Amino acid sequence: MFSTQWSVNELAKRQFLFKLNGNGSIFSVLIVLQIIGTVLMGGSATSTSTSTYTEETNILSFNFSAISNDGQVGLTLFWAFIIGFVLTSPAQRNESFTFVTNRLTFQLANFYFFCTAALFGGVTTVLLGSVMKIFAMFNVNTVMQTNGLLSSPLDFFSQIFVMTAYTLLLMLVGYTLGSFIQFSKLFIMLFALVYIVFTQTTFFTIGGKNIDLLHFFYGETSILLFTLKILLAVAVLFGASFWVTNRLEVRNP
Amino acid sequence: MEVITLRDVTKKYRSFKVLDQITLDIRRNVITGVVGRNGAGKTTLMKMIAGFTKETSGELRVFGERPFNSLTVSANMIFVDDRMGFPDAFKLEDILIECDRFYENWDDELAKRLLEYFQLPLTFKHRVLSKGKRSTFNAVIGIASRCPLTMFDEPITGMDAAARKDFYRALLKDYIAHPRTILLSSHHMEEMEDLLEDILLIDGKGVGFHGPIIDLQEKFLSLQGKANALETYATRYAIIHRSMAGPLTEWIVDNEYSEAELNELRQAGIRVAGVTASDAYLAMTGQAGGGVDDVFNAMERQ
Repeated sequence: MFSTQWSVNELAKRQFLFKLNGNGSIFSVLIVLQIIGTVLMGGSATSTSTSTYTEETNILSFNFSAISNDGQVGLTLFWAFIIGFVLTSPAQRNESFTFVTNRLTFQLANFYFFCTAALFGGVTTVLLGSVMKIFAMFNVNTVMQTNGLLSSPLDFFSQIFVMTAYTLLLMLVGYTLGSFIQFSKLFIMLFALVYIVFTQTTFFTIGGKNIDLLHFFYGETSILLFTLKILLAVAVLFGASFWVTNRLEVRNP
Repeated sequence: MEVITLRDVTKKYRSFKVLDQITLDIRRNVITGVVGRNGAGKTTLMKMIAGFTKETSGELRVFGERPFNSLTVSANMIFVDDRMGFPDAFKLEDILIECDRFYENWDDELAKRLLEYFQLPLTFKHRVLSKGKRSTFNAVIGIASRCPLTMFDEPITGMDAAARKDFYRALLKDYIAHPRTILLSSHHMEEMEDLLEDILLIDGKGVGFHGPIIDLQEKFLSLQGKANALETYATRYAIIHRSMAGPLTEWIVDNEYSEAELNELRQAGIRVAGVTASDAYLAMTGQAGGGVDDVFNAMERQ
C-alpha cells in the first residue's frame, strides 16, 4: 500500500542537510558580525596601563596592553541566542513540514544544526584571537606575550571547546524560550517576570556571594565538571523544548 | 482497501468546532474531489490527514497509522497548497534537489519537463514567483513526487484558464500511469468534474455527500416549467433549490420520482432533465444563482 519507510536517524540526517542548505545565511551573518565587531571593537577592547620602573640611574618605562576578544565572544553568544530563537519560527517549521518529517526528526535536525553552528561559532571566535594579534602587531615596538596553538595546544583546544559549549548552550536557551513562546504567547510574560526576579532582586544573593545561574557555569574550574554541567543543561533544555515541540500543530491558522 | 479512515472525528480550534463527528473511508487509488463552501472545513480535514494538526477526538487512520507524528504517513504523503513553505534562499532547482532527497518516487525528469513547459526557469527563486506561477510550481511538485497519498488543497489558486486545464490534464495522465490516492479540493467543480471518481462534500461541519460522482448526479432532477405548473404537480418530493431562468422556473428536486410520475410531469409541460455534478453540488450547498436574490427582493418589498 505504501512504499517508503524511513528510520528516524536517516530522516533526521536528511532534514539536517536540508536545514544546512536552507539556512546558509546564518553562517555568513556570523562572519559579517565578527568582522564588524573586530573592526569596531578591536581598539576599544584594549586596556592600557603604564608601569614605570626606577633603579637609581636607569628609568624603564613600558606600556602594558591587554587585548581580549571578549567583545567578539559576546557577539557570538548573542548570535547563538538569536539563532536558537529564529529556528522556532513558524516559517522554519512550515519549511520542514513541507517535506518528510515528524516532530522528533524535526527536533533532532535542529539539534544537529545547533551543534554544527556552535562548532562553527566556537572555532571562528577563538581564531579571531589570532586575527587580533595580527592587528596588534601593526603597532611598532611590540613584544607579544601570548598563548597560541603551538605554545600551548591544550589551552587552544580547550578555548575552542568551551566557546563551542557556551554557544550551544545559548542556542538551546534561545530555542527553548522560542518553543515555549510559539506554544503560547503568555510565556513572554512569564519569562519577563522570571528575568526581572533574577536580575532585580537580591533574593538569590546569599552572604554577598552571587550564586546565580551564570556562576554555575563560569565559576567552574574543572573542565570535566564544566562539561558535565553543560551536558546536563543541554539535555534539560532539549527535553523541555521537545516536550513543547512534540505538541505543536503546524500550518495552524 | 482503505487508505484513510475516520471514525467520529471531531476537530475544534479552541472552542470553535470546525468538523463534527466525521466518519468516512477513502479508498485506495481513487481521485476524490473535496468540495464545500468557504470555511466548511475542507482544509482542516486535509491538514489533519496530513498529520499537521491533531484531531480533537475520534479515530483517524492513514495507512493504518495515526498521522500526527507518523513518519510513515509523512513519507508517503504530500500536501500541496499555495502556502507551502520553502526557504527564502532557495531557487526552484534547489527545491527540486530537496524533493529528490525526501520523496522516494520523485521523478526529476518529469518535474523539469513540466516546469519547462509551464515556463518556470529553474534559476528563479520561489518567493519571487507570482501567485499563479507559485501555484503551478507547487502543483508540479505534487504531481512529480508521486506520493501514494497526494493532497491538493485548492491547487489552482491564481492559475489562468490554460494553466488550470494543463494541470488537470497532467494530473490525470500521471495518475493513469502511476495510480495513487488523490484528494483534490477546489471551488471549480465544473472544471474538475471529468477528472473525479468520488465526491466528498463537506457541509455543515459534517459529510454532506460521499460517493461516486454519478450517484451525486442521480440524486437530483432538474424540472423546468411555468411556476404555477411546478407548484401544482411537482411538490411531491423535497425541493432542494428553486431558481428563475428567464420565463421558466427551474427546480432541483430529489430524484425519487417513478417513471409514471415523471410522465405525468412531462404531460403538464414540465421539462425533466438530469443535473451536472456541479449543479447538484451548488444546489446542495445552496450556492446556485437566486439565493442572494432573495436578500434584494426582500429589501425591495419593504
